[in-house]
Amino acid sequence: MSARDDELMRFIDGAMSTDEAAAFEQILAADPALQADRDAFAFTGRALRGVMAAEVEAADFGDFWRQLEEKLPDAPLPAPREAAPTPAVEAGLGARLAGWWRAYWTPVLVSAAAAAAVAWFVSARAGGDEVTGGQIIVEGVENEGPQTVLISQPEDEGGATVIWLLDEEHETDGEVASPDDGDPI
Amino acid sequence: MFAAMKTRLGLALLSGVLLVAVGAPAAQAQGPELKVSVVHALKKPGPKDPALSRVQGKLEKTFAGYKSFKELAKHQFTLGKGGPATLKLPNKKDATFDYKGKNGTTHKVAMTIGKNTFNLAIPEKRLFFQAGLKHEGGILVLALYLK
Repeated sequence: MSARDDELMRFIDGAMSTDEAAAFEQILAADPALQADRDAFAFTGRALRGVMAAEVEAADFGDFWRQLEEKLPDAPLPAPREAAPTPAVEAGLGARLAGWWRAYWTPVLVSAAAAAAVAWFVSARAGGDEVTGGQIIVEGVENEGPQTVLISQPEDEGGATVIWLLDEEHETDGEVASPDDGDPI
Repeated sequence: MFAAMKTRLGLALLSGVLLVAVGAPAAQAQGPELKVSVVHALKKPGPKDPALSRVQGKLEKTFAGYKSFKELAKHQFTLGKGGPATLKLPNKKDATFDYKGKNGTTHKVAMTIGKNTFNLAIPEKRLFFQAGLKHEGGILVLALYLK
């Protein structure tokens, strides 16, 4: 790449100072060949960005989690540090749910649904049209009224989805079930 | 004359097509069997319900804050057969299951409880729960299973 091309690239990229850019614009205005190069570089840049956008859109991240798991060590992870004691206060529904949440589930997305309602989505590995690992996927919630919706997907493969629909205050103590594939009910 | 015959023949054929179209509505896809066990969960200890012997352990583990479970009702029906299936729950609310078809290895089901609809993608032979509705000092737990 010549020094002129390098300058042209810096000009297109906006990497020049104001004075440098003004001086280069004067050179550019007087040089049709340089203008043609500028147009060619700009066209190439736009084309590349289009290709990259299409590639990103078409990329399949569905296998991402499996690939990540394969890279994790087989040895058990170190135990988490003991949490600092919290002051004893009268916990409301939100605090108690949050505590339960931290204990048993991995929150990924918290979302508000319809006007007076709140939908809390929790998903460890869920997503997409296809269910991997046999999990139940909640693809959408239409939530009306003052009820709280909690959807939990446990992290272990054999766990069960629980769709909580809470009328009012409730303590939602629970752990992940491990149903087998036999007919249980 | 031939033109008139052609016209009549065309109309007759068109009528036939319309009759076939009207007389044979698109059949709704028949889905798998759905089993629903309606369970009453209480925080106070109580006797074990033999009807729940196969899921007792899973209920106790999943709903660790509840100490007794009793099956109040059990239902089994074929999804998609004759339209949405509606169950009357003990708390007077309805639970409706509307089969939306199969996509790959999962079945699409819209589960409506009260004013809340959950669009689900459910694999077969997988137990899952709906829980939390208040009922007589405890909560209702629906144990759901696509057979």
